[in-house]
Amino acid sequence: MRTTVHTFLAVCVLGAACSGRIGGGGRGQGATGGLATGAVGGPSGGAGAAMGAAGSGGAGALAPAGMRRRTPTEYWSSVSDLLGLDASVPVPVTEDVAAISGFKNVAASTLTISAEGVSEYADAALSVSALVFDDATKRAALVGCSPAAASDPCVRTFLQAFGRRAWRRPLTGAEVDRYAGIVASLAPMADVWTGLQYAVAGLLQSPWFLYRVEVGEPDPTRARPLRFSAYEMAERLSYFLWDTTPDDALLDAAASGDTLAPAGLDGQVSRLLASPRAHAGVARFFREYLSTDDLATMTKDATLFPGATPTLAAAMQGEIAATTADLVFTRRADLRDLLDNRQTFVNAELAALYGLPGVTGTALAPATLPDSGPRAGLLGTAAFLALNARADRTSPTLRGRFVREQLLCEPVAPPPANVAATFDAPGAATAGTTLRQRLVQHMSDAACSSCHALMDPLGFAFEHFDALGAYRATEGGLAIDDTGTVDGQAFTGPRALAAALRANPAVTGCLTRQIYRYGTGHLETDGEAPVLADIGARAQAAGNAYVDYLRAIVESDGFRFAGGLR
Amino acid sequence: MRPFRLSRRAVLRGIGGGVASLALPPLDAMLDNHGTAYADGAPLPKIFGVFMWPDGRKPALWDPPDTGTSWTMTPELMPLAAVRGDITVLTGFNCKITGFVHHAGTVGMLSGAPYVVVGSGTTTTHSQATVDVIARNALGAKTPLPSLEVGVDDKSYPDEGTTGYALSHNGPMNINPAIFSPSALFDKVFSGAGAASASPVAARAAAIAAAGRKSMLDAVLADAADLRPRLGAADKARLDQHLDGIRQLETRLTTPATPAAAGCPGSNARPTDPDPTSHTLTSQAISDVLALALACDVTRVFSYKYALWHTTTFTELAADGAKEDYHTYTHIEPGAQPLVQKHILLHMQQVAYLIAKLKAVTVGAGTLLDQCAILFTTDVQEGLNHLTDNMPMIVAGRAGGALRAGQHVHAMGDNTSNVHLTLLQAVGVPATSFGAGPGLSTTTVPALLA
Repeated sequence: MRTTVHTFLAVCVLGAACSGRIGGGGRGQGATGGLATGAVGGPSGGAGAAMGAAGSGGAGALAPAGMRRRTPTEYWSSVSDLLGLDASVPVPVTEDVAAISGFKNVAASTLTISAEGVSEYADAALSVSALVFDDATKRAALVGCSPAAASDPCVRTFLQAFGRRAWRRPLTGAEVDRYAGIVASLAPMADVWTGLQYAVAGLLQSPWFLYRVEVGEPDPTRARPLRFSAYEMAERLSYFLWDTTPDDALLDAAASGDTLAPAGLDGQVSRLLASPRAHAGVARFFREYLSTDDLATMTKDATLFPGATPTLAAAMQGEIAATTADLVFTRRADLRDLLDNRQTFVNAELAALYGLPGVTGTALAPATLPDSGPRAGLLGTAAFLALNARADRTSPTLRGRFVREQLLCEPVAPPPANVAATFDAPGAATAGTTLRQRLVQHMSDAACSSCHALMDPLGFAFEHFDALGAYRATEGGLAIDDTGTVDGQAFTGPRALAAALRANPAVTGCLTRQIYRYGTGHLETDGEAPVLADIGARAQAAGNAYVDYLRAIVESDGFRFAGGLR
Repeated sequence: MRPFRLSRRAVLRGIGGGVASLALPPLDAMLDNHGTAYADGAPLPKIFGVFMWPDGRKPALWDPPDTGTSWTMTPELMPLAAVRGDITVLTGFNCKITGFVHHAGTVGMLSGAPYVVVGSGTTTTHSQATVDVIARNALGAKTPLPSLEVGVDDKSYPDEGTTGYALSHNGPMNINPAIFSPSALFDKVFSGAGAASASPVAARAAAIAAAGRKSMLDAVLADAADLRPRLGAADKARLDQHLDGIRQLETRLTTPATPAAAGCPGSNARPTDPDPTSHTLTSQAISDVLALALACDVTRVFSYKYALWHTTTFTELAADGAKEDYHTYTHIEPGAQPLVQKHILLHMQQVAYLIAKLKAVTVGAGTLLDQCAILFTTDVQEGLNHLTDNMPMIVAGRAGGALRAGQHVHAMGDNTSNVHLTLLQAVGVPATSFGAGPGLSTTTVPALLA
C-alpha cells in the first residue's frame, strides 16, 4: 500500500503544489510515532522528508508509550460514570482544539495542559464534586456509608474503592493516607462530608486522573521493550470499546492478570461488546473519522437551500450513527458494506431530501434505499455530500479529496502559494458551463492539475447530488457528466465508484489504519506495518466485520506492547 | 513637582499587608520629577504584545508609497490616522518560513521558526515558543499574571492543528488558549474583586474553601512527584508544565490580588459580553479589559488572537451577505474584492482601537502606549495569493523610549524575525536571537530604534 502512496506522490511532484508534503502524510497517511519524533517542516528539508523517516525505528519497532491527556469526551464520560451524574458535568473545553488525522485522542497523546487548563480542571473538579456532596442522597449513594468522623474506617474504604475506579488502579497505602489526610484536615473546620468533597476533587484533578498514564512495564519475555500493565490494558480496552472508564469487573480482571493474555482479553472484548456502552465507542470512532460533528456548524446558502435546517443537519449526523451501529452490532456486516449498504435510517426531513416516500415524524426510522436509485452507502449519505461541498455549490474537489484521503489513505497536498484560485467564484460562473467544465479548464494549469487530478475525477461522480445532498437531474438545466476514473479504472456515478472502492484492498487497509489510530491513540509507525498486516489478515479470516477488527487490534502487539517511553 | 513621594513598596505594604504582587497603576506621587521613572529610579514597566489579524492586506491599498516620517496615508491604513505618530508601519520584510499556505506565515510570524507536521497534511503545530511566551518568560514573574492570552474569533479547526487555533504556543502541541469572553477576561484579571463579603458566614466559608483548595493542590503535587520518575523525557516536560500551573493556582490562593479594592481605575466595571459573533463589539470590549489589565500592571505581556485565517461567519461578514467565512472570500471574491477590502479596513479599525485605548491612559509624563512594544501582523501577504514575503507589520508604542515611532520603514526582503528580536530587546528581554532554521535572526532593525 505504501507503494501506491508513493506513486501518487510522484505524480504530485510534477507540480510545485505537492512538493511541500512528500511523505508528510495526508489526512489519511501517517508515519510518525508522535511528536517527540516529529519533524520540522518548512523550506529547508521540507516537512515531509523528515516526517517520512520519523518514528520508523526499523521494521517491527513499536510506537513509544506515554502519558496521554484525556479528550474532553473521555473526561466527561468518565466523570459522569464515576460520580453517577449526567449531562450536568462541566467539561473544560478551552483546549479542545486539536485532532490528528481526525482523532482527538491521537492529538491528546501529545498535547500539554496549559496553566489556564490546569485552572479549568481544578474548577471543574470542585464543581462536579459539589454536585454530589451538596446533595445528601447523591453523596450517600456515592460514599456508601455515613462517616461520623474523619477517623471512621469507611472514609478509607471509600477512598480505596473510588480511587481505584478513578485512577484505574489500586491506590498505594501512601496515596490513601494522602487523601484521607485531606478529610482529616478539613473535618475540624467544616465536616467530614466537606473533607470528602475536597478529597474527591483532588482525585479528579490528579495527573493520575487527568492523564491516561500508559507507561508500560518491562516485558517479562523480553520480546518487546515494554508491555502495557494489566491495569493499563483494562484502561486501553475500556476507552477504545466504551469511550469511558473501566467498570469494576474489568478492573477485577486486571487484578487477576486476565487482561495481559489474548485469552483473557478475548473474554473481556466479548463482554464489553455485549454492553450497550460499546455503542459509544463505535459512535465516537465514526464521528471523528467522518468529521460528522462539523454538521452542527455547517452553513448553507439559505436562499438556494431553504431546507437546510439545524434539524436536518442533526438527522444527517443521526443517520451515520444509526447506520454504523446497525452495521456493526445488529448485522455484524462486512466492513466494506459501509460503501454500498442500502439499509439506512431517516426521518421525514431527511427522507424528503432523499426522495423516499412514506416517512413521517422526527425520529429516525429504518428505510431501504431503492436498488435502482443513485444513492447507497457512505458516499450516498447527505452527511458526506453536504459536508464536502460549499455553501452554495458542490465541490468535486472536496468530495474527491475525502475519498482519496479518508478511504484510500492517500495524501493530497494543499494548494501552493501564489495561486489565485477564483475560478469557481459565484460571480465567475459563466452561463452555459457546468462546474465540471470550469474545473477541467482550470486543470490545464500544471501547478494545479498535479494534485487536482487526484481528487476531481473522483469527485465528478457525485455531481448529480447538490451541495445539500439532494439528487438533481441537471445542473441548472445543463446535462451532468458523472463519469470518472479511479486509478485508471473508469466508472459512471457514485454507486459504480463505491463498487470499485469495495473491490480495492487499499480501502480495507485504510480502514484498518483508521481504527488502529483511534484504538491506540497514535498514528501508525513504519515499524508497525507487520502489525497492521497481521490485524488485517486476522480480521478478514474472522469475517471482516468491524468487531473482528476491534478484536484483532486489541490482541495485536501494537495494542499490548510499546517500543519505549516518549 | 509633588510635595512628597511614596515608594511603590510602601503603598503595597499599606494596603496589602505585605502582598508583594498586588497590582497597582503607578501613581504620580510615586514617580520622579520627570514622570518617566519611579522615584527610586526604577524604570516604569514595559509592555510587550502581539496581535494577529487574518489573511493579509491588499499591498496596493495598504502599503505607503514613501518611507520616513511624512509617509503618505493609504486607504487601508486610514483607520490609523489618529495614531500615526505612535506607530511604525513596516513593509518589505519577508517571512523566511514557507511551505503550507497560512501555516507557514502564521507560525513564522509568531515564532520565527518552522512549523511541525503532526501526521496529517495540514495538521501542524509550532516547533518553538511564540514571541509572547519568550517575553513572558523574561517579564512574567514581575506581575500577578505572567501573561494574558485574549481573542475575538474563537474558530476552531481541528484538522489545521494547534496552528489553526491558538496564537500563543509554549512549544509543539502546547498552547496557551485565549479567553474570548470580555467578562471572563475581567474575572481572570480582577479575580475576587468586589466579590468579597464581610459577613462572618461568608468569611468562614471562604476560609474552608481556601484550606480545601490548598490541601487538594498539595495532594496533587505529591501525586505528580510520584508519577514523574516513571515518565520519559517528553512526558516529564509536559508534567512539569502542569506542575507550574498547579503552583500558579496555589500562589493565587495566597495572593488576594484585588486591584479594585486598591483603587485601580475602572476595575469595578465588569463588562457584559456583547454579541460574541460581532468582531467589532467583542474586540472593543476585549481591548477595554486588556488596557485596564495593563494599566493596573496585572500583566506586562499579552497575545491577541483577533482571528486566524479561518474565521467564523461573524456578524459584520454576514451583514454583507457573506455565506462562508472571511478566508473563503479572500479566494472566491472576483475582481477588486470590495468585500475583502472592506474587512481589511475593519481589521485596521480594531488595531487602531486598541492603540488609541492604550494611548488614552496617562502614565507619568507620557501614556501607557509609550511603554509598549506591540506587533500587529497577519499570516500572509495577501489572502488571495498566500505569499509570505512583503509581510505587513505595524509596531505600536515606544517601549519606554527605546523605539522610534511615526514612520514607515520599508525593507528589501529582510527577515521578519529581525522585527521580533528588536521589540523583545526594546522591552528588556535579554534575547540575542529570535526564531530558528531559515527564520533565525540575530539582527535588529536599526530604523526602529530611537
